[in-house]
Amino acid sequence: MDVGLLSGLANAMSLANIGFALIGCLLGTLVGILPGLGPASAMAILLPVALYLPPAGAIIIMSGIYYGAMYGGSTTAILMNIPGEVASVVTTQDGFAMTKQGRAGEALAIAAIGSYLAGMLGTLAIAVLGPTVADLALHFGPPEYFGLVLFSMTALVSFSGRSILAALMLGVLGMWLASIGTDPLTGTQRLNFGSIQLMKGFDVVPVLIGLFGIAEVLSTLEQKTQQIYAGRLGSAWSMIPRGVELVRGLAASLRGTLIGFVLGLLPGMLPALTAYLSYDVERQVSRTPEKFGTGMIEGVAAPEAANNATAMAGFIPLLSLGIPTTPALAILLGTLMINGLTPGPMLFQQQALLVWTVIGSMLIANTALLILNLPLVGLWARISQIPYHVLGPIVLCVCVVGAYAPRNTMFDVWVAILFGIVGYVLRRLGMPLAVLVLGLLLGPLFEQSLRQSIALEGTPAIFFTRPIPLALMIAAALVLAGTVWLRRRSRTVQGLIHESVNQS
Amino acid sequence: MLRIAMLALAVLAITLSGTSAQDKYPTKPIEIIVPYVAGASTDLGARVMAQVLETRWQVPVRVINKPGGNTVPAVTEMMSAKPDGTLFLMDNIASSAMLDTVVKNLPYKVFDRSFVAMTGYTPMMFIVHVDSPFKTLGDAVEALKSDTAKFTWTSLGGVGGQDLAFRQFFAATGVEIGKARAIALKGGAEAVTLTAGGHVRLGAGTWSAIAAPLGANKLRVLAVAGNVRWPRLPDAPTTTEAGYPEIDAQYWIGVSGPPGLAANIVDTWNEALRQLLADKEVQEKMLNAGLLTAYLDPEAMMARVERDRKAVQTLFGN
Repeated sequence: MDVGLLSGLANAMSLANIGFALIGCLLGTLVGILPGLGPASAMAILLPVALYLPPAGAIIIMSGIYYGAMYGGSTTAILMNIPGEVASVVTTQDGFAMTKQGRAGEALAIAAIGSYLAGMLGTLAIAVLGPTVADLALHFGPPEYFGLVLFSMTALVSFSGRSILAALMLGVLGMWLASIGTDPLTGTQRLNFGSIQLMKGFDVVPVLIGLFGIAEVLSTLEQKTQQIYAGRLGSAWSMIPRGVELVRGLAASLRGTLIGFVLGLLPGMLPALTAYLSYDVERQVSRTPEKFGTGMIEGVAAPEAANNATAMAGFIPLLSLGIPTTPALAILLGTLMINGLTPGPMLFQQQALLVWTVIGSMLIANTALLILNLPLVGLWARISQIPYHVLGPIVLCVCVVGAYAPRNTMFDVWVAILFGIVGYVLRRLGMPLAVLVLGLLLGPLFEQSLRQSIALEGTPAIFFTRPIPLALMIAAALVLAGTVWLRRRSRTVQGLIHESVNQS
Repeated sequence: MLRIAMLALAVLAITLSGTSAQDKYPTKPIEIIVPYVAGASTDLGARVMAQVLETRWQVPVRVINKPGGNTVPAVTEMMSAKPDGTLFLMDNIASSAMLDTVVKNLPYKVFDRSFVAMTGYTPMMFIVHVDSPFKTLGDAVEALKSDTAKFTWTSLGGVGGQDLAFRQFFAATGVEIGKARAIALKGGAEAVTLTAGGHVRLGAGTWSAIAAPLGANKLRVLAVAGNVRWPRLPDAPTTTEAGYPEIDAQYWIGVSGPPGLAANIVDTWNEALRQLLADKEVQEKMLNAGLLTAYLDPEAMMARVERDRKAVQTLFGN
């Protein structure tokens, strides 16, 4: 009992450990900003280096990269409509809209503040709850996951803008794309048309880079835009949101943190998914849901807080049960193992100082990230004023490198270019791209949990006999009914909005 | 003019590199493809090895992950690479001995590759939830025989050690595998999590995935495949001790190169690997990653692949 958060914090304050935290944060922010290069690849590259470092230092650097990337991912999403990480896809919706209105500073600031809030609260939650809530990860079997995914799918519907049918088709297209390649459960090949490249399926990253990065450059070129925002930007300090905006942003951050943290305790709940869900919740609780997508501060604050909270929450099942909830955490598990540290409740007892040092360093690293990010807000915001004939080619270069990086194959570069064209066409048709990505992300989990659940009992009745899936399915039905009812009730209002948009 | 100069330079570069490759190996960066994601046993085994080789040879030795597609894309890339000693595969039982049974119409033969050396292995372990009524492997067999249709087990779809272990288990018990209920999963870690959550009756896994939930008292190990007890589990019986010596699923890793790899390259690697695998520190790191070191030279490795392949064909041939 001698060792606790305070001694850990003191140990984390050592010069070396602060240095490791800073290096991790800087690297993380960098890979977060670069589309394609994600925390998992950066951590894998660093793994051999981690063998030379003391265990605490290695874990501090690795975790710094992981949550640093969550901070960095929003920057390009807000400024250029290109998410630096999958987790920031949904941030583009309102973040980029804010940039076009000259409110890039506000969006960047609330993203950083939201992330900070989630990071700090998440760390405190890890310290307080520790191993006690880790069991949640084990109680979730296939039927529970299926309920959760089905519930998340209702987000698909409310995301759909005006045409539910078109959005559903895009969602199904995303799920279909996800099913190409090796059947994850039986290893059989499907839909690969004899191609060895297609055997490994479509990776989310190149598809995303195409749909958002390349398509964005194509559309901007067509609009003959000189720069993303042509007006004047104030000083960095003046860009930070004030008054009502700040309050709304902070409230949304808190909601996002809660959603991101609770769901983040489950394996497979990637930061990208919780970001979507929290965005959806914001729309449900908002008095003006129709304004989402036009630069609502909640639409930036909530998902950015949620993805950070999810990143933090993942440390609980990782440290106390050895269950990695995301690919990046799987590499962190490898780092622990190779240093001779076996995660588990024993780790908290045998290596208490190490665990608390790592937790203490999270507090330091998150503060460092906020200090690092807030003054840079003004600098980043200036990016929106770079002439597009300079910015465009740079972005394209980064996109191509980013598409290649995760799996080291040229095939993925072609995939990115193909989806660049697909994204460009869909955008011109006014289709919601985010739904396609959601289908791609959720498709595998939906398919696997459904098949596994039915295999467990031999009948779909399993979804109705267990409490958690049943509750989630009822909740999904209620959300669906609520959405339809709201749509119908406000049809006259929507009609008015629609007309005024067309007239302007 | 410029073009001619460039061409001359290129020719010069090729000749230079050609001669130096004959004189001394290695002089250029080396890449090792791991056909799985980073962080699991195969990847960690490759990274421990790469780190030592890099210091020894003074050239960069990079580990590159190319996961997916039942290892076929990674193997195909290795098979079509130039045999110049710059590209290798972190080979294993799934990407060699099991490959042509699991994936039909491979564009190459399994034995076309140049085997370099086997470096380590890990036995499959049968696991149950901590509150499971099964205390021994025999209990599991009895339950399987008396209530076959409700007997759930973890399958990864025939690609690796997991399914090899279960096929051997079913063959040893004489129960038809299709009569029990396979829960198909996408990875070894998932199989362990599902077992630790009490969602399946019998699971299997390797040490790297089992260690943590075992320490957290969520799992019990019923038996370790083979006839050697696992160093970190002195009390867990082997399958031989449990009365099922036919169950002997070992997941091994090793190094392979493209077809036609020169003998001097293979020799250089073997010399280096033999030494590094004998190093206590390397052995400790490999064990942390869940692997026991075991060195086999190219001929012995090939013989091992042949033996495993025959066994796999018999077990999976249906």
